[in-house]
Amino acid sequence: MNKTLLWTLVVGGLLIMVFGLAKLSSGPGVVGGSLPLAVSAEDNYKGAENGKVVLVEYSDFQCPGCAGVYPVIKQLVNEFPNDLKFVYRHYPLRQMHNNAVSAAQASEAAGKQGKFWEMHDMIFNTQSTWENDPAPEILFEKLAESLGLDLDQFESDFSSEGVRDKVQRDEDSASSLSGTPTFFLNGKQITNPGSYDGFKALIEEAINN
Amino acid sequence: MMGLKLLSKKQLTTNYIVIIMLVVALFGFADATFLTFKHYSGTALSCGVHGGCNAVTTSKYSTVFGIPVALGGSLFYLSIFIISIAYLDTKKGLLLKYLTWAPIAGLLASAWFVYLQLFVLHEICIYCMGSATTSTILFIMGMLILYRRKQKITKEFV
Repeated sequence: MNKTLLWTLVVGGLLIMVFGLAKLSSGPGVVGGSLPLAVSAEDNYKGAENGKVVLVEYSDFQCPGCAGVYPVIKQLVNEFPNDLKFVYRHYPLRQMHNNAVSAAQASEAAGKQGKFWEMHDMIFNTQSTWENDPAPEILFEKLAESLGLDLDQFESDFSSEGVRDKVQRDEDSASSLSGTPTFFLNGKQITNPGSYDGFKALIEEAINN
Repeated sequence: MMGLKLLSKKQLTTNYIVIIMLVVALFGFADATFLTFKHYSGTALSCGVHGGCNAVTTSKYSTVFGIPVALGGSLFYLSIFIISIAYLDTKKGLLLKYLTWAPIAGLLASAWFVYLQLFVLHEICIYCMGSATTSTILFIMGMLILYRRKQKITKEFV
């Protein structure tokens, strides 16, 4: 085969391929699915109670991706105090993350004393400390203590049926989801934009619509 | 006559190996380039069942001096692809040497990334495992070329 023709074909083919991959990787933000369970009073939320934009996250305290995105969400809630309602739901990936359920229960137990979000932040901030801990409950109790919670109450709530049911309720509703973190913006599943700016653009678009 | 026939058969086998490398490198290039674009666009990957692939691709190990490791992979596969075609076209021994030894670097890099996924991040990224597979195949093909060459040299001296 003629050399020039050969290399023209190779370079041309590669360029078409790279162009196609660029198109493919910048795919649309919305990925279809609807929120499997409507937001209710049972949910833990942060930000504007009646905000125009409702962002629901299915999350696992032991998942590094969830810990990575948590400061982004925190910043977004501060950025849109009147428009954004953020709902956190539990989706502990039991097969992979041994301590995810305990962490979820600890957050809900703190929630019983009105400190769900404080505990949520501390659990994520200390993820590397407890992720491989054979008895993470001890650390969670220390966190509860540092938050000034009633420890006896925390302990009994931690293993109570109410707290277990709450985690299970979230988990059951997540059965069709492929992993964590999974986000729903105003009831529609979105691809995790991965960055603060990406989230911000999606939220601004939802506010303006 | 016998020697010439043997040589041409060897050459044919080497050609087949290089063609396999060319195809595998193209797959690896597509995979790594996709990840590179994903890195720069900041959009998330769809991970499949219980996938934590974004945790892998956004971890601190995903870049070296600010350059995404996926880009390194992309250039590696591209070089294998281009050199394979160049070899099939020119049959220069130097190009075959590159195809033999370069995949070792690819295999070592992949081993490191698989270790990070399994033992450090505890999350699997299917796209990264795909790349580990392609670089392992390239390594095996490289070793096959080496084996064939050694065999050929030994036979020529006997």
